[in-house]
Amino acid sequence: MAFVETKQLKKYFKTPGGTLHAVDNVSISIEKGETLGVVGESGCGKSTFGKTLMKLHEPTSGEIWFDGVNIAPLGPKEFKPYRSRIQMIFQDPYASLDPRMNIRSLIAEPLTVLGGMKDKKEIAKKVDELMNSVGLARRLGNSYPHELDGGRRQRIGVARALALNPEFIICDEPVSALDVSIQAQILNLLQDLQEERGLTYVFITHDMSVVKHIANEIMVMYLGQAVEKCNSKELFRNTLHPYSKALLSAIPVPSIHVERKPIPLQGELSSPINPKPCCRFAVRCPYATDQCRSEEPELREYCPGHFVACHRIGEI
Amino acid sequence: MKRMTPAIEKFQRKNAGKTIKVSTPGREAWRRLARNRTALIGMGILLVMLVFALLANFIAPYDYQQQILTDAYQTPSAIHIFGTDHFGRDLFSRCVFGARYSLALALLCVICAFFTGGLLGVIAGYFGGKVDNVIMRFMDMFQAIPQVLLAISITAALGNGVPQMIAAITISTMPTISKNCRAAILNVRNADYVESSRSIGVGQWRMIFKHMIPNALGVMVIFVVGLMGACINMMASLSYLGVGLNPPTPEWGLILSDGKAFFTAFPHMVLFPAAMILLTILAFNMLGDGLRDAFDPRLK
Repeated sequence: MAFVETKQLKKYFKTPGGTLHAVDNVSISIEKGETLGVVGESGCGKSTFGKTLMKLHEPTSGEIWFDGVNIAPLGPKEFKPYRSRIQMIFQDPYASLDPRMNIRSLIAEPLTVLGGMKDKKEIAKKVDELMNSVGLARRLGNSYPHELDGGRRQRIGVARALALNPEFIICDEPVSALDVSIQAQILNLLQDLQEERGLTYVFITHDMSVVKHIANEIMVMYLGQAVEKCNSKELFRNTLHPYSKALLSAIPVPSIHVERKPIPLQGELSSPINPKPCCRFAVRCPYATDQCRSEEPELREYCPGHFVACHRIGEI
Repeated sequence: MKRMTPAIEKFQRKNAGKTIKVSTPGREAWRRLARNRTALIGMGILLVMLVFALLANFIAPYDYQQQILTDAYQTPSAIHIFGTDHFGRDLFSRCVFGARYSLALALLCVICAFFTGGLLGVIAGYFGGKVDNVIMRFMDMFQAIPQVLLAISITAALGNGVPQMIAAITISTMPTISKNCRAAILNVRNADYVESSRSIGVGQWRMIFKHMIPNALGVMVIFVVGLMGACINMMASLSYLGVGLNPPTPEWGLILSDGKAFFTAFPHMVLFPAAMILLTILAFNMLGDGLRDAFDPRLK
């Protein structure tokens, strides 16, 4: 069994209009030290998936296996020992840090709360170590988040996540809110930390070029479901699902000589509330047939290690 | 590498080893408040009232309840700067002691209202769902009755006096205060940093007291200051209507009420206590406005 696995993971929300299928039957498996990239457009349920993975949301049904234990049914007390082993880096470093705490107390918080550390000197030493390992100068310790730039703030987020020596980190669009030049710094930091500590990542993003850079495996999500899942190289070489094709065609190429043919998608995401039993992408898919509009495609292994959910696979 | 300019080097030499004063969000707000003229005037008036309240014994030239009937109905003069009332009591002394009653009682009312309504609002906002619904419907019940009417009926049932009046004002302001606190907590409850704290295992009490209340405090402080004014207003109204404190307590509303029969002949008996009430409420509102601007990060 892999280090982290989910089986038919579901997260539904009750809304006045009906049941919102935010995450629907998503199964993944990640080996220790690997990175799974989760891509998809806004509102496709990728963040909800990440938060459900670390039980910030209770899963509606399905299993989450972490290091040989199904953590999905565990209550808050039973889950506590796993809380420190699974951590998260949040999307927006402007909003995810309490504006009334200084950097040192922000980084010390996980140590005192979950780590149960009480000795002040020990905490200070550990905070110094953490600040050092994420590349924050010590003199910034007494500053407040609003005084720092986005990259430094995100480093605080990374330090908070690292504080408890986790094994598995869910990165929820950790670079989306940052400038491109700073994105690279943070991505490199995350990769260095992974090498040093053997971390396992789930890397959630909507940016294909970022995921190409960092992920071993990629899962493409559309409206709460996985539509394509395979090795990173395989996805970029042999894209099968029409939605993935459209996503890849949107990556800018830094050369004026390359002739690009972006595949424009018509329409918008259909509603995730009480979805009909059909291919959820059918409304926007240029290849959709009657079968797509009446029958839900299953995620099948098209060639070894390459899973696709599409009725017309092989024809298009 | 280029050498640093002499000015920078000089600055660095001068400040070597000194700790740099960091700007916390609270300090920033204070700095903005200190630049706001309206707020400063409000604070000035309140400071005067506070001095009156604390040092009333030394400031007031006469005993506030000593009746010298030969001196009754005197208009303002050097001896009695606010004049005297129909019993010959010095109005200035009564107004100065009135500050003590009004401020202390208003503060007590606000504290009581916060420990009841405020706490209920925080609980409703944090837990949401059914808890929220039950508490809020309960508050709606209170709010269905006009505030002053509710306060009057409570004192009518309990009788006049300090504890009765505090109870009346607390109960009648509870709905608004709980709704405001609930809104403030709702605002921070969905903030990203709350979720991020949850991910590192912060429990619900630490979450409420360490993360949510401090961040909602700005809004609450503004509300408290506004509420102080409202409480003074309500107290004066109750006393004026004869259902607040008992005479001869030098409460501004009571002094006003005493003077109203002589208003046409001796307007000073009404104008001075009314001015005290007006100034204090105005000052609280000015300070409240200034605080709102100071705490609003968008106005940086």
